[in-house]
Amino acid sequence: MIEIRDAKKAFGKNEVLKGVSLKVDTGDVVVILGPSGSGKTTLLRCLNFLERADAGTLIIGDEEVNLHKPSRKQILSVRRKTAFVFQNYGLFNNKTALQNITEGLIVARKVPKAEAIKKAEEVLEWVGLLDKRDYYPSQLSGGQQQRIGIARAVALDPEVILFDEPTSALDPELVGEILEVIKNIAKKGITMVVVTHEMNFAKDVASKVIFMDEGVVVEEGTSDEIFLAPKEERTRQFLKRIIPPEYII
Amino acid sequence: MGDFFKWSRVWEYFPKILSKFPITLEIVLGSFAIGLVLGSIIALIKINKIPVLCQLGSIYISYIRGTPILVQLFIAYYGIPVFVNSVLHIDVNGWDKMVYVYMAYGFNQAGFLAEIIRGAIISVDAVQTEAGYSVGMTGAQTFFRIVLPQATRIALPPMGTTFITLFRSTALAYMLGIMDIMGKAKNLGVTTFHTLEGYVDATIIFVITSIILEQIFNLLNKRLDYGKGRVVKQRKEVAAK
Ligand SMILES: Nc1ncnc2c1ncn2[C@@H]1O[C@H](COP(=O)(O)OP(=O)(O)OP(=O)(O)O)[C@@H](O)[C@H]1O
Ligand SMILES: [Mg+2]
Repeated sequence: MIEIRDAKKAFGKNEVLKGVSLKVDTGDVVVILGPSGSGKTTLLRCLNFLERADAGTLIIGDEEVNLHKPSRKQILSVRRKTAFVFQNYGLFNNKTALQNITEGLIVARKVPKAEAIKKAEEVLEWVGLLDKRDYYPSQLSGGQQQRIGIARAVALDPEVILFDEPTSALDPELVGEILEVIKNIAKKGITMVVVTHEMNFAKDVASKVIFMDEGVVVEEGTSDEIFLAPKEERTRQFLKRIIPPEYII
Repeated sequence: MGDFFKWSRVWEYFPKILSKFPITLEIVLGSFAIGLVLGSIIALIKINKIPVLCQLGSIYISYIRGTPILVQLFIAYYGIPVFVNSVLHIDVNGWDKMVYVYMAYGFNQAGFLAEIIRGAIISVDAVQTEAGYSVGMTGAQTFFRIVLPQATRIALPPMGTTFITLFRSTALAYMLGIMDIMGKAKNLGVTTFHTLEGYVDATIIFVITSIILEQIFNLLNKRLDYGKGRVVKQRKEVAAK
């Protein structure tokens, strides 16, 4: 289980997170929606300390961490319990597909090399890229890179995988296959927090949908609750803008 | 005038001058090593913006870039003994001249390499570091396993250029009485009154070595390309079809 309590973050005078609280149960797929600039990326980045929050608490498993003043040990510990899938893939450019996956296992999690390679081949097979194991990122398409980014996250076997718009850098025809891969992770029962603009994906897999705007959680609920019967005016406005009319039931 | 230049003398001097090639090589390799270590330190100071040291680093780099190597050589040769004697109270009488040569060229290289290293490190995309953190690596692990290899790749071509420039600029070390390629060429000129032949030999040695060095760096460049070469090749093949 993961819980965030009252996370706050400002960049200078720009208050980006104004006290965000969020609960993610084990096995949950939480989808975060919200207009551009509402603080979705910042929230995810504060969770694994890529960004330092000004205040807030993170509870992950049996560990409680101050989001503003974590110890070095806590930072590493939280990062080793989470995995991040980047919008622009974030693959190590100097490592092959296989090494991209084994690196974190061997170096950070001290998994024996043979075991790490076995695990990496397993997840590469699973995303259908075992034949590309020795390719460098520069030799792979965007869709292939993102599949490896996802495989890397899954191989780490984290308590939660954080996705920041995993499909928004991709050509439209590749979006489907990546969403398919993420749906398969959901079926495995892995806990995920996904920031996305793909409404159909949210409808299909989210066990909980969160609508954020201007640094606060405006509304949260099941996908039916949010898409079919939004309570807040701001949510309705957002959905009207983002979903083509024919989808509104 | 007829006896001013003879190819036979070029031929005769060549082995004598070539025999001093190891001295030149020593100066180049030693100074480059010093420059690499010192340059990396200055680069890290500047990247981490360590107060005072960072400004001193910038001044140092301006001095190195803004003054001729000949001036730096003389400053090292006459200045360092004074400094070491009066400030550190160490006797420099027994020091070999080569020490000053290493210092002058090593410090010179440090100034140029610092900027190359700094530029290369900061040009590695921040996402690479974040990705390292996100899989649970420490700062040091991320730097040495992810950022540094990529920075090295970026720094390699300009480093190759500085290395070859360094090799050429060692031709001034004879001013301090070092018997390297140029020292020997000059020395043969003085003792035999035939000056030109020795310099022709030196020219040949410098040109050939520069070409070899360039080839070595080209090769290194290709080997360390993290797959980029293969893509380019594939694209070229496609283009050819
Ligand atoms: N490093 C930073 N420095 C200053 N301001 C930042 C920084 N990162 C984000 N911001 C600001 O914080 C606000 C929220 O950004 P964030 O990236 O979290 O939004 P988002 O909800 O992910 O938007 P999008 O849907 O466009 O990705 C924006 O106004 C942005 O300009
Ligand atoms: Mg974002």
